[in-house]
Amino acid sequence: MSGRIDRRQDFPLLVGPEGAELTYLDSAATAQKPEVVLAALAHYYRYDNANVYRGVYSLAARATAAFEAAREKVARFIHADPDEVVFTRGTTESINMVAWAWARAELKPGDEILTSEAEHHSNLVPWQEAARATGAELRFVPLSEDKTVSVDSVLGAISQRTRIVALAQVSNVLGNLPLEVARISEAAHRVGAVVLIDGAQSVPHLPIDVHAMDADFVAFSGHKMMGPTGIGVLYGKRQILAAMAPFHFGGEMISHVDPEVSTYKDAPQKFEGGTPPIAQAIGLGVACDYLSGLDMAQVMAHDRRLGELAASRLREVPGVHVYGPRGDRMGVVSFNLDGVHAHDVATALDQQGICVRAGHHCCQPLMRQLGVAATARASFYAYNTEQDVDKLTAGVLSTMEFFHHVAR
Amino acid sequence: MSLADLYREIILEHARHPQHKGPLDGPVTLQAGLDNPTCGDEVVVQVRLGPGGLVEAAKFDGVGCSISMAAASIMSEMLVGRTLAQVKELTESYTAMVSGQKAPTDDLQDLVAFAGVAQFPMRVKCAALPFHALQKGISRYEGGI
Ligand SMILES: Cc1ncc(COP(=O)(O)O)c(C=O)c1O
Ligand SMILES: [Zn+2]
Repeated sequence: MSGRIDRRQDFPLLVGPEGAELTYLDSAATAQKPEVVLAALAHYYRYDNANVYRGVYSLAARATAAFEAAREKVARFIHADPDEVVFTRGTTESINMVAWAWARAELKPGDEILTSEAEHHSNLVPWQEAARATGAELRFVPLSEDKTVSVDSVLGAISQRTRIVALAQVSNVLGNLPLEVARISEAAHRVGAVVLIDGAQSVPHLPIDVHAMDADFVAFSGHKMMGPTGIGVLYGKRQILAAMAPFHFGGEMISHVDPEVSTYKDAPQKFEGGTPPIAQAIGLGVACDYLSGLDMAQVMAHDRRLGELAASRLREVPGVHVYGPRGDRMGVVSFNLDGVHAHDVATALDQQGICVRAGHHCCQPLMRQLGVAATARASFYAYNTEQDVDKLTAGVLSTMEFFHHVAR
Repeated sequence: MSLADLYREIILEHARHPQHKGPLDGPVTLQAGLDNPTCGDEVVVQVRLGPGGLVEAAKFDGVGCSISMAAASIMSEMLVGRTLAQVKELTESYTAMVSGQKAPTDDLQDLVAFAGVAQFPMRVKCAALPFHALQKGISRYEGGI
């Protein structure tokens, strides 16, 4: 594991007089964008802008080709086939699409939806609603002592009644090493269940091979992997997407429309009703190529190294609590300072140019499991360096000093 | 803007040792709870009116950052002895100050310490939370709910 990447200069927001002072440690919320992505967005609007599929003129053909080329880039990035890549607005919409179009058709009373209390609200609330609508039951994988999900506990919780297993591969609070999805898929498929992976925090940070994972669905967001906002992906296995009904009905997704009844295109288009986010998809395609150029194994090693370094440095500070696994981890580090609320920590760090998130991170049940109302969270990506970890540690020390000195 | 402009000593003092915290014993005339869903601050305010319509007792409970907890503590101290009309006036004056619409005025007394919040837009909600809960309680009471 070498994983030493230093690409800050590729990110316009992080260079220049103001940006150079910034220590951006909130990539788990959204990532900064490299120049190549910004340039691709501008290029599309300047030279290729037209609606996709509909036009006969060559400009429209160019836009359509660029849009479909983006789908191919994304497919290559996750080792899927292009017709298994559905463009959505993001992880939340991708999961909702499954919770509506798949779950409401497939689940019935007595069935079980298996998830965990460590999930982002986006991978919990849609299942609560699907359970309510179908009479299926929500089940939660017992969490380990550090509140992470382990494959063994997932395997133990899968029953003959399980119809879907919906879990994040990497938690946006705990920064656990990625779940070995293939083992979960094997056990789930044995009882006839499908597997949905919330890849919001994994797809941006490690090599992903959806076919090797053998997951039925993988959801992720473009904006967390250096792409634009407003674009995300639902990967679905070909035969499952073929059997699944559309979710958004309207233009672009139809094949033939009569006044009373219509027929629909094949996947993935049948799931993409309306004008899609064309520029955003193209931007995401470029982000995938940029990340592949860095080599995802190196990106993962880099993020891990910074995450592990930050966690161990912070653990050395008396009065600092670090959540999540001890030792090996990804580049997401949640922590609290004794006697100082996470909001106050975030404001104090912001005064030093350090951007961390504070709050419940859309994981209220997990906060309850951790026994806290909120945490601060630092998260790392390819533009961060060891210096950023140094700044964070120094910032936390001076925050501690400020609050404990003044309050004495 | 330095950190000390936001976190005045009196704020840290009240955050550490909150006054009027816990449930109100005896009759409660009006109460309301409110939370800040983006960050998880939660506060409940309880008020008892006594003879002449004056606030006889006020307490708060909740969890949150030092700004929201100190604001709740100082607010509860200042309510006692005021009429509801005066309480509403105080609330308006304070929320205008923390949101940067008005300079601090003497009527705000210890609450003047929160003037620096206006320079920290992400923290205005924290400072205003207990007063917004109070406003909610008052309008429910006046609306007969
Ligand atoms: C684990 C996880 N799941 C889902 C989401 C939701 O992603 P989005 O808001 O892009 O739909 C996030 C983003 O915060 C996340 O971290
Ligand atoms: Zn707050």
